[in-house]
Amino acid sequence: MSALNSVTPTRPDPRLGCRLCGLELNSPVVLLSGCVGFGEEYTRIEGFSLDQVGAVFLKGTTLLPRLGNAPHRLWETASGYLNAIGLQNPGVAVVVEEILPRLDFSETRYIANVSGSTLEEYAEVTRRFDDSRIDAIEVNISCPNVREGGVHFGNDPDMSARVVEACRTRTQKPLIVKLSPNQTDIRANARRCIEAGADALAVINTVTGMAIDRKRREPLPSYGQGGLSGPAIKPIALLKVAEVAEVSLPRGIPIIGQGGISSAEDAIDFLLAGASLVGLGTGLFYDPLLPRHVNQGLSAYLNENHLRLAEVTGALSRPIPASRNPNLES
Amino acid sequence: MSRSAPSSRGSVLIERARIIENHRVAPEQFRLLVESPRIATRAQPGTFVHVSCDEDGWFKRPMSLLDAQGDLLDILYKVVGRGTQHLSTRSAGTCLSIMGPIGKPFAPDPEAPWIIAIGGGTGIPPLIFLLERLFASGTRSRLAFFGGSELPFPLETQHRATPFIGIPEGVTQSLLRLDRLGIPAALASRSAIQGTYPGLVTDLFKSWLRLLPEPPTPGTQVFSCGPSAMMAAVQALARDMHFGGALCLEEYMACAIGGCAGCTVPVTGPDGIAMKRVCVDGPVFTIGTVLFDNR
Repeated sequence: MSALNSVTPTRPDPRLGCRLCGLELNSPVVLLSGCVGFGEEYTRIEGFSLDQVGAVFLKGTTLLPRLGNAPHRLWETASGYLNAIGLQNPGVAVVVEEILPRLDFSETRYIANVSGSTLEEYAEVTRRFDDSRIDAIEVNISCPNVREGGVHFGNDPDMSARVVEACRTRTQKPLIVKLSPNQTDIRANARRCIEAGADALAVINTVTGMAIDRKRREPLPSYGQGGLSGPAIKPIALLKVAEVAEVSLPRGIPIIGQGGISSAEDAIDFLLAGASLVGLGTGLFYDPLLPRHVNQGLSAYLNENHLRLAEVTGALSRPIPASRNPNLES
Repeated sequence: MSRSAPSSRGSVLIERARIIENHRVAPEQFRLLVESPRIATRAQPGTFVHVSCDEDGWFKRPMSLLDAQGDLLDILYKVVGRGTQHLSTRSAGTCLSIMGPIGKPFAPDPEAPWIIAIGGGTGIPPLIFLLERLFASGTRSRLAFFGGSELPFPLETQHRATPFIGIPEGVTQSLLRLDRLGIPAALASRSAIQGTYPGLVTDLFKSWLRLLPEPPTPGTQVFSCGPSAMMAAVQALARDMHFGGALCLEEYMACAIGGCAGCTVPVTGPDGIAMKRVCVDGPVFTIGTVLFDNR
């Protein structure tokens, strides 16, 4: 009988314990918004345990309920997939009043993901979460699958900063900003978000893309475009993490590295590029027990290299090419 | 997308399943028999499994079950893309990672006067599983099956021995495994398959309703799985006849565990239209609730 047939959940190696903006986490491995519903979904799987992850980022939440996009919402591509869910969620009132009270905050940390179509909506949803048990708030200025807000804010550094400022004034909880890779210079945007009050940065959201149904000559997914995730985007994400690290690490702002992580080796790459935490999303669809496997691989790596977790972050032996943008001194 | 009840924790298993058989039974259609004892024990008609077709960088594929007996899962699948193409090359003796059972099963009413199953193409297997389990349970409901396929049927057919009143003359073919249990079955195809009704399976069903001397009474349940257009027609007929029942849906899936909301379909509920996940809110939905116009 293989190991897969006899799964015993185990808490992560204590040496993987770490902190994010003052929050103590079991592991640097976190589960990403949009891939794990409102926290409980993966616990249906035998052997999956929420105490194996440092935090769970809940499904993107707006002020009012959203049905999301019509089917078909996804399309698999080489080493990844396109999704266009369209921020389906029951609205912040239901999340705060009905869903959060049912979560077990002793197992892991729960982080809200705030989305909106206007500055006022971002601010109000943040305010509602501030008045809840949620451990931290992630501002999603990079969702590519809605017609208003989302990535339209996140691709403009001025608008990004205004959204972060609006949210910052509504909460004292740790504020994480999820950055889009779909922009000219992610460093400029990262710096503006930090100046506007971000406590941490999530790098990256999905990369916009499309597929085509040749028979019907229609774009896919049905929305007409989608966000590409999975191993295909890992090289893009790694470079973005390294670029953002140039401006965030000197300011003491941690990065949650994400984009195509599907093994412990991938996670180590993101830490070396400058991330303090690593996010799992699409990788779970290949291996639902990925958090445990990444934890095990990280522990082995620390052992073999006689390192502490924090020593891995940004430990590239030589820097990436310097930015040519004169406005981007770190 | 609310929290799953605590009782559902750990209900879905991941097993390394050994392939016993994986062979072509009809053009583009394969029969996969795997040894997956823990999932097989828990599987019920309507639930599905998520199968690793290709270990190298492609998602698992959701597959319905034809049967689950002892240690074995019995699956019929059609080659439609890269994943199933790769699966079709896997040899007996090798292993697949299988996750399951997933989703809500069929829940037929034990008091239903008739339980009628209408399946199309790859939607046929879970209905066979349902009828065989009902038969084995000693159900008092009268059972009937209508199957449609444009490809040769992936299950063995034979000249019907079980009487099936109301079936047009010349529609003589049945499925061997239902016929030998005495469950009346009739087949339809637009591909000129001998002994089948030359048209849509829903037209065969309508014809049967017209010709039957004593039509099924309200309280009868219809269970259907197959192409959306077929299920929409079944839904309309069930509504007209005041039949209950359920539809078993398919949709592209990524996680198959309720996390990504990629497989949702519009359904009506007490609070209006909602987008429900086929994987864990379904795949079996009450027949009148699924909205086909919006899909």
